[in-house]
Amino acid sequence: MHRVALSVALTVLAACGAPPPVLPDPPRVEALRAQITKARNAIAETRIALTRNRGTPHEAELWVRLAELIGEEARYHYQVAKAREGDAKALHVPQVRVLKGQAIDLYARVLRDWPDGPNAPRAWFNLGQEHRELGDYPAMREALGQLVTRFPADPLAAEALIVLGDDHFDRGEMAAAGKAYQRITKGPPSRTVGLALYKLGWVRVNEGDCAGALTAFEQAIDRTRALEGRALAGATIDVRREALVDLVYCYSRERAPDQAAAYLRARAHGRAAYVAALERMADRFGVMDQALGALSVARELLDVGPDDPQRLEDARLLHGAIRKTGRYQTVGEDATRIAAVVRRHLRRTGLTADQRARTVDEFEAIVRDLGTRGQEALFEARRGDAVDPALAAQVAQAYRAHLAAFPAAKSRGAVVQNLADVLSAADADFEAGRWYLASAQAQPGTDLARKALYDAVVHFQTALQAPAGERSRVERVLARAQLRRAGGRLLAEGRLTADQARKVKFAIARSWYDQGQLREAGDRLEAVAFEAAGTAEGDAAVDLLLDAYSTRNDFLGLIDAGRRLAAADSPVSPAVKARIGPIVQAAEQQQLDELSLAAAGDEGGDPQAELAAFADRFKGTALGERALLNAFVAARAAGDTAAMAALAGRIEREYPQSTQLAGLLAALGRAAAARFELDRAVAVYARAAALPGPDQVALATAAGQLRLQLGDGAGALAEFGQALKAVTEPAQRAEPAARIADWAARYAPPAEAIAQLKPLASAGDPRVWAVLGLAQVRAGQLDDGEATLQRVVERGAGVAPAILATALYGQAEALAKTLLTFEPGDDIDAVTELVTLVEVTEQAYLKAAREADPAVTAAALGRWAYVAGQVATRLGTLAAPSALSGEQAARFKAGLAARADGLRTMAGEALSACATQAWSRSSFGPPARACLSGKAPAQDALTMDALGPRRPAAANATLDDLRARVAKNPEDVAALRALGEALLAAGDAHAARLPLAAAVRAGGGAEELNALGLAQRAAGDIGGGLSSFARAAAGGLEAGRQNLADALRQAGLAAAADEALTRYPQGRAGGARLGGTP
Amino acid sequence: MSAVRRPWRARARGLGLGLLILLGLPPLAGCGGGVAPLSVQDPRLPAAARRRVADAEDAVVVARARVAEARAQAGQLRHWRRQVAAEVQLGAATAPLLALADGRLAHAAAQVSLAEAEVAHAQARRSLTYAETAVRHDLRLYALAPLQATVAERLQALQAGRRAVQDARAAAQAQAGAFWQAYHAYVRGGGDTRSFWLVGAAP
Repeated sequence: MHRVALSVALTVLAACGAPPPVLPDPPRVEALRAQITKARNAIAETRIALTRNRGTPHEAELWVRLAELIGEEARYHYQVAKAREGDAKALHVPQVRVLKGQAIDLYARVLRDWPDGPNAPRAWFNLGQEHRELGDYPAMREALGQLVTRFPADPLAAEALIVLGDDHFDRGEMAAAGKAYQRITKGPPSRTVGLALYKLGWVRVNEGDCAGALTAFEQAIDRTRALEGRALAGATIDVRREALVDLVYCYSRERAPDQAAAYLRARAHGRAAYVAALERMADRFGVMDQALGALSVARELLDVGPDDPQRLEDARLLHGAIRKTGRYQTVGEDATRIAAVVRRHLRRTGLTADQRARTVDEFEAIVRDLGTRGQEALFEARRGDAVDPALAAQVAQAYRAHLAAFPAAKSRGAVVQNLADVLSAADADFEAGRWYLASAQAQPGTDLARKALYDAVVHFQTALQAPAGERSRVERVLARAQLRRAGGRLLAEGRLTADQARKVKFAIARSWYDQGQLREAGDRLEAVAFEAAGTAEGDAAVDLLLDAYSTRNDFLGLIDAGRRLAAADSPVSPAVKARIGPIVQAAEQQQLDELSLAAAGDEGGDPQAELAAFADRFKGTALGERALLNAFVAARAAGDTAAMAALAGRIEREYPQSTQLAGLLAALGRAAAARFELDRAVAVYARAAALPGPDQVALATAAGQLRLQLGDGAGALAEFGQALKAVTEPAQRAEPAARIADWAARYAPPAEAIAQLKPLASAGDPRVWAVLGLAQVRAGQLDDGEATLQRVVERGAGVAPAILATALYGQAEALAKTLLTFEPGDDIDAVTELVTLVEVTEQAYLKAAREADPAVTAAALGRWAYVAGQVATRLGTLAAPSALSGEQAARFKAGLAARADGLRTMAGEALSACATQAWSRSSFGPPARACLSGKAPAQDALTMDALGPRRPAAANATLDDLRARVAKNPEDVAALRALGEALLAAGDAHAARLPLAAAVRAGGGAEELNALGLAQRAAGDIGGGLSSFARAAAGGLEAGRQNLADALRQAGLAAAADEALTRYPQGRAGGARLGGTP
Repeated sequence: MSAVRRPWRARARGLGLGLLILLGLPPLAGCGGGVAPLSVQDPRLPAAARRRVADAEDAVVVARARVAEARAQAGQLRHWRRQVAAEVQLGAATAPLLALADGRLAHAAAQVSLAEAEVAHAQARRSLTYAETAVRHDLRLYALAPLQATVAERLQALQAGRRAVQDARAAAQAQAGAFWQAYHAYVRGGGDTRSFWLVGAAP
C-alpha cells in the first residue's frame, strides 16, 4: 500500500516537473468527421422535431432546415473526400449524391406543399445550389429561374441572379450574364448590387468595352461604399478592393496615365487596397512601357507602399520613367524617395553582404544618375547665367540625398562638386561655398581642391554681401569662419595667382571687418592696402581700415594709419590719398573732441595732460591751438588757475594771433578773481584789455575796479583811461566813466576830479554828473556845479538814491557856500534874502539827508549843524540896517537873536541826529565820526577814508589750498573767511577785505563781520571797519563789541567808545581782537 | 552739517548707547575695522541712497568685467606673440613685427593694470559710499577721512595707470608705423607675405 502511494506520489511529482506534452492540431479530416457527426445529430434532432410539429406553422421551416443539414453533411463528405484524395479532378463520392438527392427531394416536397410559403424562395435557391453542386446546371437554372420569376423582390432573387449571371459568364454568354447582373443593379441597395456591378465590369471587359467596364467598376465601388457601416452578410469578397484592382487594366487604356495615382487614391477605401491597385497599375504601366503613368504610380508606391523588396522594383521603375520622360522638375524629391527606400531596404535583416553591396552599387548609380541628368537639364535650360531656381533646388536635393544615403561612395567627391556647382549656378552662395569647401576636403591636394577652395571663398564673400535680412546671423558667422578657413588654406598652399591671392586676402580681411572684429581686421586691411595698392581691393581696404578705426573711436590709430597710407612713399593711389586727407583731418578734430569730452567729465584721467600732449603733436596748427584752448577750458572747470595761466601763456607764445586769446585771458582773469588772486587777475585783465577784441573796455574797467578795491587809485585811473581809449561805441563809455567817478569821489581833489570828469559829462551818466558837480562846488565853481547837479536832480526817477543824495548834498553845499559868504551889508532886503537863504540851505541839507545813503545823511546833517551854527553866530553879530528906526532896530536885533537861537538849537539837533543815525545805521564814515566827536564838520564832509598803502601777500600753500576751496565753492563761507584771515595774516589787508566781504554776502555772521572789520581797518578804511565791528557786536560777538570800542577810542571818540559798550550787550566769545588779541 | 554726525544726540535712548556715551566710547566703527556693506534693499534707506549704493556696487562689477576682458585680450596677444616669434618670416620686416607685438603686449599689460586699478578704486569708492550713506542716515558711525584718503590714493594710482596706458599706446603706435614701413618695403621687394597672413596679423 505504501509502495503504491509512493509510486503515485513520485509520478505526480515527475509529472509536475516534466514539460507539457505537445498536442498537434486535429487533422482536417478528423475535424470534418466531427462536423459530419454534428450534422447528423442535428438531422436526427430535426427529424424528431418534425414528428412533433406536423401541421404546425413551423413544419415547412423544419423541412427546409432538414434539407439544408443534409446538404451540409453532403458537403462535409465532399470535403473529406477531397482532403483524402488531394487535388484529383474527378471525385467519386457516393454519399454526396445520395445526400444531395435526399435534400433535393425535401426541397421539392416543401415547394409542392407550400409553394408560396415564406420558405419557398429559400427552398428554390437551395434547390438550385444543390443542382449546381451536382453539376445539373439546367435544373439549377430552372430552380433559380423559378425563384427569380416567382419571388423577384426577395433578396435571394438577387443572389440567384448572381449565380445565373456567373453561369452565363462561365459559358461565355456575356450579354446574358450582363443582363442578369444589370437586373440586380436595378434592385434596392444591397451587397449584391455592388457585386453585380463588379461582375458587370468584368462582363464589359470581356466584351472589350473598357469604358463601360470602368463605369461598372467605379459604380461597384461607389455603391458598395454607400453601404459602409451595414453588415454585409454573405460577402465573400471585398468588392471595393477587387473592383479598384481590377479596373486598372481598363484605366490604363482609357484614362490619362499621369493621373492614375490620384484616380486610385480618390477611390481607394484603405491603404491596402490603394497599394494593391498601385502595384497592379505599376505592373500594367511596366508592361505598357508607359513611363508617364509609371512616374506618379511609382512615386506613390515609394511613398505609401509597405517596405518590401517590391519597392526596389518601384524605384527602378521610377528611375526609368524619369529618364524616359525627361521630367526632372521633382528630381530631388524622387532621389530622396529612392534613397529612403534603399536605406530602409538595407536595414532589413537577412540580406547578405553581397546583396547589400549590389543594392548599394545599383541604387547609388541610380540616384547619382538622377542628379547628374537633372543637372544637365538645368544647365541646358539656362538662359544666360540664370537657371531655373526651382529645378536647381531639386537637383541640389538629389545630390544631397545621394550624399546622405551613400556616404562611402567613390563618387562622393564628384557629387559634392556637382552640388556646389548647382548651388553656385542658383546663386545660393552660402550653400555653394560650404559645398565647395567640402569638395576641397574630399579631394585634398588636387587642383580641383584648390579651385574649389577659391570658389568657396568667392561664394562666401558674395553671400556675405547679400542684404542683412537674407542670411541669418548664424549663417553669416559660419560663412565668415569658413571663408577664412578656406582662404587660409589657399594662402598656405601658395599656388594662387596674384589676382586670386589679392582677392582672397581682401575677402579674409573684410570678413573680420564685417564681423565687427575691427582689431582683427585692422592689420589685414592695412596689409591689403599696401600689397594691393591701386586695385579695387586695395582702395576698398583703405576705406574699410579707416572706417574700422573710426568705428572703434580710435582716432589716433586712424590718424596714424591715414598718415602712413597718405605718405609720399605710400603706394596708395593719388585718388585715394586725396580722400584720406579730409578723413584724417576729421579724425583729428574728433580726437580732440573726445579728449575734450573726457576732460569735461572723466575722473581719474589726466585730460589736461592729454590735451597738452595732443597740442604738442599738432603744434602750430589750428588743431594744436584748439587743443590748448580745450585744455584751458578743462583747467577752468577744475578751478586750476595755475594750469589756466600756464596754458594761456603757452597759447600767447605759440599762437600770438589767436583770436581767442583775449577771451581766454578774460576767463583766466575771472577765474583768478574768483580765487581772490587779485594781482594775477589785475595783470591778466590788463593783458587781455591790451589785445584787440570786443571786451577791451570791460576788461580794462574790470582791472581798474580791482585796483580801486586794492587801494591803487592811480593804477585804477590808468586802467579806466585805457578803457576809455578802447571805446568804439558811445554806449561803452558809461561804465568806465562811472568808475572814474568812483575813483574821483574817493581819491581826487576837486580840480583833478573836474579835469577827469568834465570830458565825460556829455555821456549823460548821473554818477559822473553828481561827482563832477560836487567837485565843481568844492572848487568854488558854484554856478557850474549847481547846473551840473541840477541835471541829476532833473533826471529824477531812475537815478540811484546814493547818486541823487550826492547831488542834493552838492546843491546844499553850494547854497551853504553862498550863505556863509553872503554879506547883507546895510541893506534890509539883503538881510531878508539872507534869512531866506538860510531856510533854503536848511531844506537842501535836510532833503539830502532824507535820501537813503547813510554817508550823505551824516554829511548833510553834520554840515547843516555846522552851517546853522555859523549862521547863528553871524546873525548875533549882524548890525541893524541904518535905515531902521531905533525901535525897529531893536525889534530887528531881537528877531535875529531869536532866529540865531533857533538855528543853534537846530544845529545841536542835527548833530545829535547825525550821531544817532551813525549808531542806528552802523555808518561810521568821516562825517559820522565828526558828529560822534560832537564837532560839526567845518568843511565839506562827504569824504572817504583814505586807504593806506598795500602790502601784497606772497603766495603760499595755505593760500593756494584755500583758493582752491573757494574756487570749488564760491559760497563756502568758512573757506572765504579762512582765506581772508590768511591774507590778513600775510599782511595784505586790502586783498583780505574782498573774500571777507564775500563771506558776509554769502551768509556769514558776526565772526565774518568782525574779521572784515579788522581787514578794513588795517587797510585804512576806518569807517568800514567801525561799521563791520558794529554789525558784529549787534550779532552778539564780544570781540566785535570790544573792537568797536577800541577802534572808536583810537579814532579819538572815547565817548562813542563808552557808548558802544553800553549800546551793545556783552556777547559770546570768538573772533579776533584788534592788535591780535584773540 | 559736519561730515561726522553725532547720532547719539538723537538716539541716546537705549541704555547701552547711553553707557557708551557716558564712558566716552562712541561707536566709531570706522576707526577699528572695515565698512559694513549696505543692502540696496535696506528699508531704512531712501531711494536716492539705495541708488547711490547700487551705483557704487555696479562700478565694482563693471571694473571687474573690464579686468577679465583686458586679461583675455592680453592672453590672446601673448599667444600671438609666441606664434609670430616662431613662425613669421618677413625678412627685414620680421624684427619690426616682433617689436610691434611686444608693444601691443605691453599696451595690453598696461590695460590689465589699469583695469585692476579701476577695481581697487571702485572698491574704495564703494566702501566710502557705504560709510557716507550709513553716517548720513544715522545707521552707523564711521571716520570718513581714512576712507576718503584711500579713495584719493587709489585715484592717483588710477591716473598713473591711465598715463601708463597712454604711453604704452603711443609706443605701440610708433612701432606700428615702423612695422608698416618695413612691410611696405618687403612687399615692394617681392617678399612672401604668407606667414603674415597665416599668423602675423593681430588676433
